[in-house]
Amino acid sequence: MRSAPRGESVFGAALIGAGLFALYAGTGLPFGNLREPGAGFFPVVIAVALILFAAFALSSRTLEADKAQAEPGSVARVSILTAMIAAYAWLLPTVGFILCTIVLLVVLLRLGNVGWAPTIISATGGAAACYLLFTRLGMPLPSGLLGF
Amino acid sequence: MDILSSLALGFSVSLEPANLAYCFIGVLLGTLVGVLPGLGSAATIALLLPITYRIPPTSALIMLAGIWYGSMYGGSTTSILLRVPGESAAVMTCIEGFEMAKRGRAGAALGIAAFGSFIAGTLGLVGLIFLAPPLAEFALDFGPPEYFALTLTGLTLVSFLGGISWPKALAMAAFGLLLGTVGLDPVRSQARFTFGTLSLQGGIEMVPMVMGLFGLSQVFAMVERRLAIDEIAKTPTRLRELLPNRDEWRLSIGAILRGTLVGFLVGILPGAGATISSFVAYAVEKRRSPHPERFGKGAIEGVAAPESANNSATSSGFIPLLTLGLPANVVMALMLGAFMLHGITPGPMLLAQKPEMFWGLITSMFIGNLMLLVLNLPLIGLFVKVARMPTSYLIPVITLACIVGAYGVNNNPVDIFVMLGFGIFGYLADKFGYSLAPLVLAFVLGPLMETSLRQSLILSQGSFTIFVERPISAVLLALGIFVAIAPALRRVFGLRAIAWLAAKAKP
Repeated sequence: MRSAPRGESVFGAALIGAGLFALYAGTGLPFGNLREPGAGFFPVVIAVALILFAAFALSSRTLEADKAQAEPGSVARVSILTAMIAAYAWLLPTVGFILCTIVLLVVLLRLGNVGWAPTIISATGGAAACYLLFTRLGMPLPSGLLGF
Repeated sequence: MDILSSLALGFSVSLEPANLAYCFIGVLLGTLVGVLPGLGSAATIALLLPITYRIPPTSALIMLAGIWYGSMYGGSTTSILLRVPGESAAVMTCIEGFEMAKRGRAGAALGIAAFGSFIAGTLGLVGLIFLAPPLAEFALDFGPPEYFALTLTGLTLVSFLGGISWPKALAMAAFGLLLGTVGLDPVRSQARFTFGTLSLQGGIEMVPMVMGLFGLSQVFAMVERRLAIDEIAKTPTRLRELLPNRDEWRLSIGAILRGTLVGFLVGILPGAGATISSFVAYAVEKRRSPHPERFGKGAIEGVAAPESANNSATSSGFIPLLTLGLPANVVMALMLGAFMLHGITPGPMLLAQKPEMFWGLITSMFIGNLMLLVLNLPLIGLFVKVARMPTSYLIPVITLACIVGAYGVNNNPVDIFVMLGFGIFGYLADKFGYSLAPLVLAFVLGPLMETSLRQSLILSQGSFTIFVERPISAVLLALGIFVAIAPALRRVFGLRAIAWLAAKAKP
């Protein structure tokens, strides 16, 4: 048997974990009986199914090792993107849509090796255009520090 | 109501200027995303779901449907000219299409793909028109046991037909069902898995979830690996170059009709859908060809059949949703979501209660297919430019669309976190071979499945025999069991191998 890619196993294990958690939380709900199943009946049955299927999937891995192999630098890029979006959501109500969006776009465009001049132009232009478009469409976006 | 007056009603809705405009926007967007590798129709529909809050439901559905079948047209363009399938359903088109392009017949390949798509899409709609009303009438008699059997069998089919690994697919289905239980219990309204927070009482919001699963996850995938387009066939510039010659037509017409039939039948099956239908259609053509050695060297039937199949599969894929309320694939699950955002439950009652919506949607697809045929051929040059749009610009655009879309649902930044979480989950799931289709289908079907199960058990006073005593539910369950335990059957059709190929070749 070839060695399994680690990420695939971790993912399967995480699904089992989710099943165990749902089982634990679900047993706190009224199970009822077969004549009159309660709120906990379906979640508990499905949680057990999840644990079984995920365990079976874990034991019969199908991927070749090379597919799950990360490219150099990809973990860093994925992490930066994740952090950027989380920061965006965190700061949006106080800092406002336009400033948040400009910063996000600048970072993403620079990550894609776009030159500074087109980056600045696209980011400010894009943020302003989005703001105008969506507020016109009746979607309130927080203006934040810019105060308009 | 007979078919003609139904169609008249439908066209009176779909020919309204506003609906024509939404149809046009839908098919144009669909073609563009079909052209763009890495951004699929599911992602685009997910991105546009928030907008559909703000427009009338029929118009919204017309537009979303347009994106789906439009993407089938667009996917072939880049397959043929760049050997990059814009959509997974266009993978087979790459093989023969690019070979044809290298021999200087790119125009004919593009032409036959467009004509085949049009013929198949239209014939598929005719099938839909004749099949849907009787099926909806039949389904009116369904009670809780039938619905439970239907949802269970539907999820089983999706898990066994659509994925690479069925244990993984079933695990994802179970996880999707669990996600669907968050919120108030559908029978007793008791809070479940809400952890005392009010915002989870309404359940997990579908829009941020699907935007993360299908939109942001693609961004992560793009950030991880860069797509390189190296070889480009000569782009035909004049309309006349797009017309296949007599010999090519002679070879293709049978392939188009066979592809249409294959696509229609496969498209109805939950879990199979457009991609698999294109693989089956290609295999059928290769097997029945008197000169199979031509395949792989630019056989036009190898373009005509799969391109026809994926379009007729998009038409027939609407049948289970519109008549039974059962989405056959991810895109249909998103359509179901769009219906539900407007408080409408698709299913057997739709035809009776909202005929103008039902027929308006179906007739709009005739119009949309015609628009696509006219639109597609002259704009090929533009589409090639779009396809070569650098990911360094695509990534910020999609990311921002996901963020704004998720935020816009409730004007709540928490939804951005939800979107981000599902984005990471979707990216990892895809990477590790866990397919997202069973998860999303289970998520949307979960409440119906649970309610019908619990009602059935109350009806039968706790006896599971109710599911086998009623003939329809017994037949449905037998079908599910049959698909699950008959790997030999699956080997005959080669579906698993095909699905594996599909996943391998996914752009």
